[in-house]
Amino acid sequence: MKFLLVDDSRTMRNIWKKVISSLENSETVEAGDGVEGLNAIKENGPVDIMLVDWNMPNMDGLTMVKKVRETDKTTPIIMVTTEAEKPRIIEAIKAGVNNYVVKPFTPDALLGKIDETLKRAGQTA
Amino acid sequence: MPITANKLFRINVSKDNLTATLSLNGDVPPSNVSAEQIEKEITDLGIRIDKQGKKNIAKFAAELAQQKVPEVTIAAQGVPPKHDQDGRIEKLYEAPPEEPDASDNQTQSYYDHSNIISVKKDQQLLRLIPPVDGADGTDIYGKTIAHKLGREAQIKSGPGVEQKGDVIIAVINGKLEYTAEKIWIVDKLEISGDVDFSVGNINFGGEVEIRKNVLDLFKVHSKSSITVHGIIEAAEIHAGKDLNSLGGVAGKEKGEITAGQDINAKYITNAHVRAGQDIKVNAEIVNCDLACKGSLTIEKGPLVGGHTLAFKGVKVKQLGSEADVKTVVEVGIDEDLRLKCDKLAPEIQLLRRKAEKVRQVVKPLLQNQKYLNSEQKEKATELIYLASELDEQAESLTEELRGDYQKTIEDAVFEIEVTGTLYTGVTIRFPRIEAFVTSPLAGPLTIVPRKVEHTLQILAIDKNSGSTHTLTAGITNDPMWDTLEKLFGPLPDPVDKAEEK
Repeated sequence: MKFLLVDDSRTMRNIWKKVISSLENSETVEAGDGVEGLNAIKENGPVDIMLVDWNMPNMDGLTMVKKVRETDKTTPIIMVTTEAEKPRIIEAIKAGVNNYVVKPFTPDALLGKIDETLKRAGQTA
Repeated sequence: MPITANKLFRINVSKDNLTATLSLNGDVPPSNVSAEQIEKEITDLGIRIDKQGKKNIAKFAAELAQQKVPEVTIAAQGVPPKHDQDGRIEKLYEAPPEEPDASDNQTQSYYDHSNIISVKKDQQLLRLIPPVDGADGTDIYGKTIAHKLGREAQIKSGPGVEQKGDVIIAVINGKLEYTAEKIWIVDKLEISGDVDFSVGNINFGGEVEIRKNVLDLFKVHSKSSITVHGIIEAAEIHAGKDLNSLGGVAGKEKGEITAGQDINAKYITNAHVRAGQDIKVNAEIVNCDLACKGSLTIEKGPLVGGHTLAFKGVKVKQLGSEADVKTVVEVGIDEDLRLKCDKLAPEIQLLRRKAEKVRQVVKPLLQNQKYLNSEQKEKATELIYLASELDEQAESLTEELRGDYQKTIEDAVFEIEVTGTLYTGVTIRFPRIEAFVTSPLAGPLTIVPRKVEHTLQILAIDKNSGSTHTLTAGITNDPMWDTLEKLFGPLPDPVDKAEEK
């Protein structure tokens, strides 16, 4: 299972990576902002799931999700963000996000959301 | 040798035909002659004049023209051959330390001085350096002078070594033997006399056999077995496999004897002893700090004094002595588990405390998420993760310890056999229970922990009559069990396990 992790905080990416490492056969590709995220897709080919932060320099997560959805309607995307207001969540889902995790989260909560998202997309972690 | 003698000058050629010198003919006064004339005379002899030769001849002629007496000069010079350098052998192993120099200010130990070169498998020993190419020379007539060819470095490889390319390597652990013609390794080191200052400390990869004694403060280390025919004094002996002490061990409270596998000895007194498997002694063990991961057997004599820890049971003729010497015997207890517990338990508790502390910090943040800014939410996530990581580390160490504990209670043997007498002054300890012997008991006895009506007791069973004597027992004060229960919760009683078996 190939994950694309997009967050400007290296610490947060490391946390995601460690949480994901408990899943079998997981591999990760990292990016520090939306631009890097789109480039990573171009360079590394399709991934199985994306975890994207909202607030990032250069290109924010929402813009990145919109750009991804222009060509890829199916790859599950989870927005992992501090943005907890309902209108923001609705905005993200409209842009094409499949699931939403609000920081702060526990490792188990993140794993649960990943599992739920993949199941909905017809995949298993 | 003068090969031409003009009226005015003469040409001498050296025996090796490498130099032609030009000098004034002694009988004739200086007189005018041109450099061209001199050069012609020389080249007519077949000699090749180089640039420097021409300069020298010109100077010679110029001095003659000034009616001076010129000095002898070189008119032609050949190129001598450069002979090959013979191949040579480079030592790649470290030579043993030399005997300390009394005048040397640096501190060196005479104990470390040794003539034994101990090498390990795959260690590079020698490199054969090939001859260095030379070049042919040319004499003053232009003739080639052949250079001498170099000899290849040669050495025969004996047992235990192999040549790979230009390097000779050890294929076994052992003692290196090396002469001008041959190199080989012996896998067994035999010391015909004592281990003393003439031999020095020994650190050997193969088997070691010492025909006499190991004297005070010397060290003998082997990755394999060690056999000592004489007495091991207050020395440090470490055998990777078995240690056989045919003469006995008199440790004088400083001796340290360890073996990865069995220890077999005539007797052991006043020593610190550790064995990875069984300890078998013929005569007696007196006043030792001893632990083995197998069983302890003393065939003919007593176990008196000191502290003994035998994981798989004890069999002795006599336990303690008539003089009521304090003798502690622990059976079915793994020293490694005890040490590991001492080390890991505080680490586990610290990790758990840290995790709890982090959770305390993050708790109010989680309760007030609405009021947190982005940065605080990110920080809270990091703290939650940190707490869970600390918990995981603590859990992983706990599991490691639990695994060791379970293996311990599976493998332990809770039994002491005394064929002769059990004396007053002996403390017998099994996991969680200990008894102090207050009156002597005649054997043959089998001493075991048993649960009688849910109460743990230590029983001495007379092997002849089958009668049972309950030794006064109390709960052991070994903190390991409390620590383990604190970490794991209630544990199965090791004695129950033993009874199941």
